[in-house]
Amino acid sequence: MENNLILDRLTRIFRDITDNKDLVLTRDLTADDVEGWDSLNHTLIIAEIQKHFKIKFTLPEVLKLENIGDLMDTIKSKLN
Amino acid sequence: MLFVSLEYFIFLPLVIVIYYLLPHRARWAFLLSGSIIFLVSAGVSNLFVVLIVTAISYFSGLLLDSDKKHEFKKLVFIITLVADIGILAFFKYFNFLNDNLSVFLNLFGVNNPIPGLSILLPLGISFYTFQAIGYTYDIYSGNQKAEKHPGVLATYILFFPKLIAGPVERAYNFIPQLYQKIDFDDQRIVQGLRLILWGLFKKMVIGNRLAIFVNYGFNNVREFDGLSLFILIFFQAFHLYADFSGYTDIALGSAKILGFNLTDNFNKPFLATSVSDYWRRWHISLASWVKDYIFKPLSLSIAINRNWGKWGIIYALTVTFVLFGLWHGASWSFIVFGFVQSLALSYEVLTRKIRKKLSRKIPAGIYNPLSILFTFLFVCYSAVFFRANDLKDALYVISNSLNNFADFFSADLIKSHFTGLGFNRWDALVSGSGILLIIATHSSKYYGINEALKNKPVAYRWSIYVFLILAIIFLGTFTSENFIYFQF
Repeated sequence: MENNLILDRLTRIFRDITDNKDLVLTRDLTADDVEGWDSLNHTLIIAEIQKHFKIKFTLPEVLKLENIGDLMDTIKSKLN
Repeated sequence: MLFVSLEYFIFLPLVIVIYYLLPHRARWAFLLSGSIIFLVSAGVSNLFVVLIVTAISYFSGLLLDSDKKHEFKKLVFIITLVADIGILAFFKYFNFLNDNLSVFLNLFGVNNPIPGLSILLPLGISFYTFQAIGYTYDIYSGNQKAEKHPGVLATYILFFPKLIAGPVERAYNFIPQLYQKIDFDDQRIVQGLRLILWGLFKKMVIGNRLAIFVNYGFNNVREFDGLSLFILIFFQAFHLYADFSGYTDIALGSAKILGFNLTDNFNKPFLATSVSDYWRRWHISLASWVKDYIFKPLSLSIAINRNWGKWGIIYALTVTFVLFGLWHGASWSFIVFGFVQSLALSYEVLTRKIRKKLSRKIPAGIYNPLSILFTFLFVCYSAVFFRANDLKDALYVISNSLNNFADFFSADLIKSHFTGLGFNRWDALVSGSGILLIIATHSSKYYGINEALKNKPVAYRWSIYVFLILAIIFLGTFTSENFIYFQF
């Protein structure tokens, strides 16, 4: 799956869970930059990503995520 | 050695002078020796446990940061966790678990054969074991390199300003500071001294004064009813804040003079607009620790493996905050304190979207003050479980605090309730002014005393210093009242 497509789908998931309809995601965004991306919503986001992309993360993988770019790369590695 | 003692005010200047005279390469050893003297002054037995915990962290850190196989590292991680938690549990929870086992066995007419232990809780054990666990976890999860120098790691764990009651400092914040060459900087020393002065003022003028009545009230709850209990509930919240934020300022100030920045534990907690906001403002170093090392791994592993949605978060919150409550002490009231926090946080998780919609409809000038008020009421009432001697006392205080409601509206009766708690006019004036000052600092646009005095004229700054010093001398309560958090 192309990066743009992953980013597009992630944006929809983030907008829905953080209740932030104007959110625009970029690779270098971190939780501190996104209103509503706190530890509670992060948990819901991870579960939704697994469901949406039909993938399964491991705990060390999600604990190491630092920004959207890391998240996109991990999803991509699972899809390939 | 207590922070508020003559010994500390001889010890600290001596440490500072020698520290700045020494070359950088010798300073860690000096700080470590000073920290050991600081700890041993309260009893040699305090030293053994912290040295064992440090040794475990050191060797497991090296193994976890090696080329060994993942399965081996996992085993090392689990053994280290069991050892650290086991040490903490043995000293802190053995008698509690044993007493509850006795009660359980008595239900079946069986006597518990295991005798209780009469051992003193090693000073600071709850704080340094959590730092050691965090250090090990960070290496295991690849976010931290193992410290190769055992002396540097020991200095991190034993550093005297944070040894007995925190802050719970992260290794990745602290250890790099030990490697930086710190030059003498008069501005930083002034900032550190200001923090110590402000901390002493909060502890001795406000905290110790309130302690007289709060301690008396909570030790004799059944002597009081209605408004007296209501006063106690609010005064204990301000007492706890003055005491613990006073301690934290002295800790941060002492560290700052030596060139170290520690994590502040408080950010105007009584302005929190929700309970989750409150836990981002109160005892920040511990609350963020439980978030990162208990809540996050637990909630994420549930999200990955079970997908329970919001209920997974609520489950993780409940486990996290019950453990958080239990960390404070081995008693059912601390467990209930943690559980009540988890109930409020769960409510906030479940009503998030509704509350967000509501906040858009109601003008901010009404919604925000009401949110602050409700959060403050919850915080004060739930802290009764924290402060009361046992669960029965806590329930008595809460359930009887609104009795004889007419008393709340009569000046004479209000006065008689204060008198009944032991307040004379002078106590009421000092305590009331202290509480007003806490409220004033909360509503100030500045963060802390250093920001408030930055770029102010010399006369202004010195007026504040002189006022604080005179207030400590003339209004301070010089008792042997210890810091509340030293018991943990």
